Amino acid sequence: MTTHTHKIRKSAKADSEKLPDISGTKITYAGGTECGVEITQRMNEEPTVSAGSTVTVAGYTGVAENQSSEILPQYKLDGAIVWETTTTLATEGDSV
Amino acid sequence: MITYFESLTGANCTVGGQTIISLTATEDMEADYDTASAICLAPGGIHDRGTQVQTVEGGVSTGLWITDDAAWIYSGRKTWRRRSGTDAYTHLPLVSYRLRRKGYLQARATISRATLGTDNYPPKFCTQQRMYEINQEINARIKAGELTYYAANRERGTWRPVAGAADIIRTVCGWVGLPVSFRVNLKACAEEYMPVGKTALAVCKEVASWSGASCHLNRSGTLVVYDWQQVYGQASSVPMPQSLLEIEEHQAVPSPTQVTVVGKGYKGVVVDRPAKPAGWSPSGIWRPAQPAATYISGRHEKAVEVTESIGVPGGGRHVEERIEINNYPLDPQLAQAIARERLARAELQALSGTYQGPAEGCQSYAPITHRIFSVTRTLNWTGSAYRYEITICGPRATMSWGSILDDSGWW
Repeated sequence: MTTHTHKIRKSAKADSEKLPDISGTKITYAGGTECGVEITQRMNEEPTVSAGSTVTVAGYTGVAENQSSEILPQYKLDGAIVWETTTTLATEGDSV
Repeated sequence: MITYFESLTGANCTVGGQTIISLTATEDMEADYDTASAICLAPGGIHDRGTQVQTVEGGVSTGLWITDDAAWIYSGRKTWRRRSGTDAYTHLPLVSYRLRRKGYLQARATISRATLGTDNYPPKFCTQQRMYEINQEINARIKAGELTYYAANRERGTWRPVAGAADIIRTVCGWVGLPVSFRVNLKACAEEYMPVGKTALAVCKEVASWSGASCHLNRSGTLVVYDWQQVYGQASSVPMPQSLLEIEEHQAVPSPTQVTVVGKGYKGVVVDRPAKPAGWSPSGIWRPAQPAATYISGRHEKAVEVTESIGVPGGGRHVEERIEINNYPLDPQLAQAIARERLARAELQALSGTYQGPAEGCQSYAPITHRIFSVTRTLNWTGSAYRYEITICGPRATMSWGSILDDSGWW
């Protein structure tokens, strides 16, 4: 099977809130962070999609939150019809 | 001092020097103690239970409190945060307090051997007149050979003669270390009173109620003994917020509408003495002439019954409450005051209003010092600024009564 990474979209999100402080000025605090990577790959074979387990895709490791695959009959790769798979990973840490 | 929305900051909204996230404080003249709950940021550590703290709202003190319950809050969802300019996540120093008015720890103390000491326990108060009678009884028992002098002195020593009800309150407050201030003269006093097992506040309220008076712990933790009718029956307006967001005015049918106070008191007998000419007495002493005179003599028990009433809305019939007082002497004026106080409470609380608005500039509004039944202030951080509101409940009517009964010749 030939696989090409077609698109990578990284995201990091944190909740923030302002709280009063004894100094009289407001202080911004960051709450929980959520980092993730969305990877789109094209391959010349029908893939199996799954979610919920820790996977490594295009060098990024995380919990697969969502995985979807779509056939693209208008394109061929190494003579076979192309399948495009999009995987959304939730990664550990404050950055990705 | 008027404060404005934009001038409320973490520096001037504090509980014991800790920035307020949220505060709800309620001061109610009917409640035993004012209460408050607060959530604060406490980077210097939590105030331990029983600590005295001051609430400051918009830079204005709103009184002294005791931490009745203090709790640290650790919560991943609520407190796990990274402060701007730092790399590390830590828990916010979030604490919550349940507060009660300063003096709470003293006022809730029970009249027990541990509080009073063995020498003062059990406390037995009596009036000076009653002490005179007790002494006569003891002397009679000595004469009859029932008591030795030693036993008689011990018996006398167990009693505390007092000049009046105020003396009992002062003594009890002194035992528990509670400052007290009188805004009314307490006229009535039971001949004997043994307050064992009660809280100091319950004792003070009971003793004050003999004279139709009430008690309230004020913002500085001083027990104020006051005349309810004088505070709430007067013709002065209820203080209002700078602007009104909500109004709720009640017109309830009061109950009772008629109060009868019955009891007994002591009254002297008026004696008319005729003029006496000058002359020698039977024992040979020269007596000058004496003019005719009228004076009060003796101590005679007399029944007292006073009925007071207010108008019944809708032309209905009266609902009567009968108050029988047997444990202390009354005079007609005192019975009338007790009846009027009971009716004034019923009528004014039936004609009450609740007013809500911004609390800026209203920090000083409090029951007793103002004509307010209760006041609740809330100060909440909204994410960008404080929201500060006040709810005031007060009477919408005044009470006017006829003439006061004569109490001359009674004691």
